[in-house]
Amino acid sequence: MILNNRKNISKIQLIFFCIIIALFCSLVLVLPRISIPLSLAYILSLALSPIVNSLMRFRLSKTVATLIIFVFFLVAIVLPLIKLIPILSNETQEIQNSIPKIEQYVMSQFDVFREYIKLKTGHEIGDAYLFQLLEDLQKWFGAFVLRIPNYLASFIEWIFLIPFFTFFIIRDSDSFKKMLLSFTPNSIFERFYYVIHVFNRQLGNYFFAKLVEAFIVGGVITIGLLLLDIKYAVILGFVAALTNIVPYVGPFLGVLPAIVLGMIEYGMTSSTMGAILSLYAVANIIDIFFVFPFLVSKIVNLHPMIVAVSVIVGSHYMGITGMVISIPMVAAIKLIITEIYNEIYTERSR
Amino acid sequence: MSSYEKSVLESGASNENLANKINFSMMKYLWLANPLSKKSKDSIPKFLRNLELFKSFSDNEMRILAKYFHHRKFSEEEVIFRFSEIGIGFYFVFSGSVELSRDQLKSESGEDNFLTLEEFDYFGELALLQEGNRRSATAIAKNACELIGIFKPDLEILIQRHPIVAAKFIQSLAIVLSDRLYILTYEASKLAEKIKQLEKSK
Repeated sequence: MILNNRKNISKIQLIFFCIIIALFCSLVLVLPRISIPLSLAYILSLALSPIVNSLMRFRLSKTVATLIIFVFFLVAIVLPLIKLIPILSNETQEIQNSIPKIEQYVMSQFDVFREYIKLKTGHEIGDAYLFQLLEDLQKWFGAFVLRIPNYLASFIEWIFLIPFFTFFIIRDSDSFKKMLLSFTPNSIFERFYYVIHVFNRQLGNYFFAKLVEAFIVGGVITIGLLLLDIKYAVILGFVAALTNIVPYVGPFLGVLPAIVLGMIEYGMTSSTMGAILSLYAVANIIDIFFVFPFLVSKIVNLHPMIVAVSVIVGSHYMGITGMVISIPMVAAIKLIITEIYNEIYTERSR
Repeated sequence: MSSYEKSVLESGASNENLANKINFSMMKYLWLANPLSKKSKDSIPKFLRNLELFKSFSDNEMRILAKYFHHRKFSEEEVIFRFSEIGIGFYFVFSGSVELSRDQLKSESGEDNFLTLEEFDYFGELALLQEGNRRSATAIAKNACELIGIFKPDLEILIQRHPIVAAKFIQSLAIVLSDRLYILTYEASKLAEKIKQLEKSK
């Protein structure tokens, strides 16, 4: 019998284990409709696990600790959101209404620019490009509006699925882990356990730090814009918080809508525009010099060049999602490579 | 066999009437003897209860600690870990026996192994505490055996969730290690004295 041989048994265990892991990975890749909310829920559960752990210090069971966090988030996020949604929809409505205004503004600026170029160089620039661009933009926007119900449907699905998945992942993470480890072959058990533990910790810490960072930057910008009494303050702050999750590129993406809206409302050279720009600068300086060094950089120990390259590659393949998850992915790959390196080089040399 | 089990059996053997009051140890025994309760779940705390190492733990603390242990099965002659491998696990022998050996020792003195561990013995406690610990011996299952292991990640989570249990656990480990260190220092000082005497006599 094959099974009588001890070496064969451990080989079969290893193959079985690899097949199960490969099967799971391919399922995740094949079913994006499930895997995207599932991975978001996984990331969320990792980011929330420090809070669960500290709640469990008070002799609470894991289920109760998870429930407390969920109730807290319900109160802390959903209630303000309910109040914010009318403001947000108001602001988006107004932005939509001001689109002709933007068009007019761009046209008039273009005319001024063309006159200027003609005066200086004597050449006249054709306006075909500009019209083409504006037409494309309008088409794109129209298509976007038409697709909004689709987005909304998947968004509503996510709103239910993500908390649902997150709750059970947090509550049952220990039994999932025990199940996975119970059929991990003895020969790779310790190393496998250590790698998944470090990977989870890095990923969790990274997203926890990013969450805090986004809250701080979004909060500073929203409060500053409200104090400056600028239109669309809340939506601009929200956008700034969201884009801040993307490293290096994010802050620039976040300031773009503020520049566009500020230009239309107050003009490029007005003092309000300067105040807006300096507010964004201050928020990002706080981020770069106070939040980032204490929270993020300690966790992800990657060279800035590698970070930039991985963000570009991520955005190329998976868009904005790719930009967000590229860094932890690269950190994980680095961890695994280091572990294999240690295995191959350090031990043999001793 | 635990104390309440013993007392119930003894009173039953001597035909004594059981007490009229609510007998908690009796109830506990009956509860634990319930055939529907999951035996595998109870086995780890029961096993740990028998260890001298954990004598300061209360029942509840033991139950919490037991959740962080992993049950591993090894077949005959399977390697548990190798000499100089990076290790993170601390193991108890649940059943069967484990052989510790060192290749260097083998080549120097011709001995095959320097230690055989039986039920209730433990090994690898340094891996749980040291940073980047390298195993100081090779551990091989002498026959088909079951081990109960706790690993660095488990200890990290235990510290965050149940600091008191974790502190007690680390204290127990520290007692074992300090006893060993004490003996080692004593032996070392004796050796140093002997070397001095030898040098003088030369």
